[in-house]
Amino acid sequence: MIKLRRLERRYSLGKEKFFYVLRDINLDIAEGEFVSVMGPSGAGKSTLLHILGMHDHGWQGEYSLNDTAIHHLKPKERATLRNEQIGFVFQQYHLLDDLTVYENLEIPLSYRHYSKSERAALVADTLDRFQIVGKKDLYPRQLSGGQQQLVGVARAIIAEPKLLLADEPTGNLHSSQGEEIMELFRKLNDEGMTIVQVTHSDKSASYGKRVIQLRDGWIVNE
Amino acid sequence: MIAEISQMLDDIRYAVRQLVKHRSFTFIAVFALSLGIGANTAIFSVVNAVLLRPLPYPDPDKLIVLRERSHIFDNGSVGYMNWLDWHASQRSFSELALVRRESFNFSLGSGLGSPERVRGVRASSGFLSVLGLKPKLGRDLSAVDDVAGAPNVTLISENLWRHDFGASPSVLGRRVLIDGLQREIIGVFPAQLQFGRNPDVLLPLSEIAKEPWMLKRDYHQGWAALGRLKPGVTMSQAASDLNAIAIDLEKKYPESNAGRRVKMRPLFETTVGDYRASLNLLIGAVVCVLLIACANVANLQFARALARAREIAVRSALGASRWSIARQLLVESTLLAFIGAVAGVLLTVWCMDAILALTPPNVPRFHQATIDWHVLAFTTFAAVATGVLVGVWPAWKISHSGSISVALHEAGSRGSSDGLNRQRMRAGLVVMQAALAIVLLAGAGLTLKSFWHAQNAPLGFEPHGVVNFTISLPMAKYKTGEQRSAFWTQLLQRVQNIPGVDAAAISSNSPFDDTENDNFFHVTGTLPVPADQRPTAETSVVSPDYFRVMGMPILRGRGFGPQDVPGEKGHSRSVIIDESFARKYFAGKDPIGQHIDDNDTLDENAPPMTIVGVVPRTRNEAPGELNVEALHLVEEYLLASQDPQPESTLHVRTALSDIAPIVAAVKRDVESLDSDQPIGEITTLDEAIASSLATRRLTMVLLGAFAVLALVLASVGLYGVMALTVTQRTRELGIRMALGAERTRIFKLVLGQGMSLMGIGIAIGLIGAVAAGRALMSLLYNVGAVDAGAVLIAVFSLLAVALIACCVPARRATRVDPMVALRTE
Ligand SMILES: Nc1ncnc2c1ncn2[C@@H]1O[C@H](COP(=O)(O)OP(=O)(O)O)[C@@H](O)[C@H]1O
Ligand SMILES: [Mg+2]
Repeated sequence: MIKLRRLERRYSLGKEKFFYVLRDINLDIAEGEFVSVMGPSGAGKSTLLHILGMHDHGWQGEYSLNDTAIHHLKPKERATLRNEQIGFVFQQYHLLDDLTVYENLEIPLSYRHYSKSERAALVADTLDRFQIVGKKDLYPRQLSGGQQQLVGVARAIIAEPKLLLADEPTGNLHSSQGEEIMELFRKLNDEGMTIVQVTHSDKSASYGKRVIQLRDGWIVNE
Repeated sequence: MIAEISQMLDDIRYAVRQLVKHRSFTFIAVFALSLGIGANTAIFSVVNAVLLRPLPYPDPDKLIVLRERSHIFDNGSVGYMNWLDWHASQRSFSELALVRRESFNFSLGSGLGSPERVRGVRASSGFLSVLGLKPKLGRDLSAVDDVAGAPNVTLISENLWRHDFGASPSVLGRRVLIDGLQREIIGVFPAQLQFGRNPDVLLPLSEIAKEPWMLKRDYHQGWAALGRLKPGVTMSQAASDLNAIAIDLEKKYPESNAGRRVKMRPLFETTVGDYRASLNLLIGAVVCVLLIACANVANLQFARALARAREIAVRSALGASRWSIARQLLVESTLLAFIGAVAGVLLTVWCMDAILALTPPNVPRFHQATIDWHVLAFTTFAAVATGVLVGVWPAWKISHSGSISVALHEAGSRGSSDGLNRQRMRAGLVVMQAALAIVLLAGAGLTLKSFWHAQNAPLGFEPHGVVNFTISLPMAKYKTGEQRSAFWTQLLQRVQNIPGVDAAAISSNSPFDDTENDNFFHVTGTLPVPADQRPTAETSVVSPDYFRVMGMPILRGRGFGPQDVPGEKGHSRSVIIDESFARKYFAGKDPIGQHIDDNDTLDENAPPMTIVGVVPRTRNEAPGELNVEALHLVEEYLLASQDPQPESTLHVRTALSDIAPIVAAVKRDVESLDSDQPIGEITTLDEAIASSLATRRLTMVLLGAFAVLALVLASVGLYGVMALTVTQRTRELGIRMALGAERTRIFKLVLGQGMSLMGIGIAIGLIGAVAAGRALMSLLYNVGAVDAGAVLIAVFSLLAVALIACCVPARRATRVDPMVALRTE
């Protein structure tokens, strides 16, 4: 599903000098995998995930998603592809404070071509599936961290992506809440969703089937 | 389509929620925008009425006003005899009418009801048809009415017809008393006719067509010619046609027509041209105010950008396109602008009466300013433009602030400060506001100073305490000089006896009225002067006490007195000249006892006039008008009893502050002398002078008001930015204080930052102020484009307000508690 070849990400440090965050990344991830990216802080994990999620375009090398060569696509085409294929979960949840749970779930649908009734049906389904129907009219600040991340995950998958990217989804959570999220990930993976998560915890990583270690921008082992 | 509408509704719903949620932002933004948009709406409604609305006649662009250009007057009046020749020979106009504004004594009949003075026009028979108007009732004037001997007829206005005759069709054939003659009403002209300040009656030429003063080619009796260009004929073609005729006339009548040409201007220009510069200036001013308001709101948007940046990054990560984000921001700012526009229109409605009260009172078009659909369309446009301006730029800036991952990263770490770029942008906006405010303040200072100069320009007479009554004796009733003289003498005797009246006099050419009377003259005994170089004097015919009433000292010689016996044929009349006359034509000589030939007298055998006195030079019109001041005309005074005029102004000097009893007594005296004789205008000389400054006052007051708005908005903008800066620098300030910075240092730090922004703004603004001053020059009186006083006042008022705006946040900065500040991390 994902194929990276000689992928590099660097920041300029003035003229002709670069700071490399990712170097010579070669990586294949098959459909249905559940991969955990691990490594010390500053290793480039988030950077890798944002590149996979097509939030960042300043890289060199090759990146193919389902045999589409992303490196040949224009930003607009990348955005379309991203909207079709990818969901993203953030460590800081990033729910919009001014919107209710229901409305937060609706956002991704509003940017894709769903009719009003389709949206209502999908949001209702998702609320049901995540057992948060009772919270649909609450605002994010009225929820616990775990509940917020639950909404964050629900929002990431509501538009039915094939690939779920999660940057330290449990980083801000108590362990019990974290486990709940991880159980959810396992379930999604069992249903066929490809998942790439960044994590610091071996426990979380153990939910996945494969671990990639990053150090100073290099993949050190698998 | 439906999906897009529902999308739009969602956007609007969300925007409303945002605005409600951020109430203080919304309040300040709406406040600023309503001032900006309101000021624009108000000025636009005036501009729309005065400059944009076409004249209410069919094909108004074809209407041309013709005047005579001579070596003295660029835009002088047309002589009747010249018009007759133009009319006969011209081929450019489908019709060429002769017209002048007059006022008339009007009553339903001798002894029937009180006589009134009404506005009217006297015109040749083509007048209504040139304008493309037809009588609403009855018939138009016809060629018969242009020549002497025709029956006495009149047309009346639709307005008079409704008010005095109940709109009855039987008004045709009725007789009314106008200027002492019974006249038959032959028609009613439509209310559309505005020419000559909404006239009430229209009189033909017939009764004056054979008067000697009409038949003298050298006389210019205040006429204008009005023509409608034939299809396909341009104004310049018409001008060469008419000037060819003028050159013919010059050859035939060199004595009177040497150097005389035809001056043409579109009717529209003659109606509104005088106000264009002032109104353009005001448009410039309100656009500045709107820009300042926009900068204010854009700045507030940037202040929210930090919170906004996270929202936008999250939305982008969830799939929002740049367009959908921009649209969301646009909907929000446009909604904001619309609320501002509604508030602004309400503000305009509320201020409109005050603005109209300032407009020149005798220009009808100003008073037609209303908030019609043109104005609302303009306001809507202004609101949308404003919305785009304050919305798109921040939206574009925010959405270009880097990749999503960076934005998310920044948003994730709390307490991250505003980007350096954005800080610069906000500082730039504050600088821009300060610069625009300086331009407006300096411009307002210039007009203020110019107004002050205009108001305090030496008059040469003392207007305070003088009341004017215009009285016009109908020639039909007061045929001879003796009759007229008798009326004035008796009136003056009675008025002088009214308790509270210190002195009374009449004059035929009162300062600050509409009439102007200029006469060619020649200093007796000097070489003859070619016709196209003859000097002319501003002339007034006055009674002996005139100089006492006006507080004018006799500088040399004597005033008029009993020794000046009423003129008989062959008897030398007395004349009093002003000091400029004496200086220019009798340099180094005593003018007393010298003689002047009056080239304009109808009496061919009249001996030269004798100079008996010299008085101060007076100012007779508002400063800056093309007038005696600009043309440097000298002044002369003739004696009423030697040259009795039908139309004069009665001047009454009184020390009483309540003039009502005097006005009532004068009315009684006039009525007792002639019960058919109305009084025209009654005004104090102070009022007449004030209303001559109306356009200047309008510009000054509005520009001043807009400058104050600019000052307020700029300082609110500065306050907003400084307050936010202090909030964002709380941690830094806390550290500084923890490291031992004294509170006064912190205070100075914040103050210094704000004031240096102002300093840059002022420096840029000064450059703009010089440019604005140049553009203002044509409107200014006795003030240079760069005026140190105006600039200093502008700079100091902005600095003072800016200091206050900075002090509040600066004081708050000194109250930062280092412990609390550092803990917020
Ligand atoms: N916009 C940026 N400019 C310069 N360096 C950056 C930028 N974003 C991230 N980095 C650097 O890239 C490295 C990797 O960052 P990141 O991928 O967030 O690490 P991780 O998620 O593994 O902790 C870090 O050293 C970080 O400082
Ligand atoms: Mg990271």
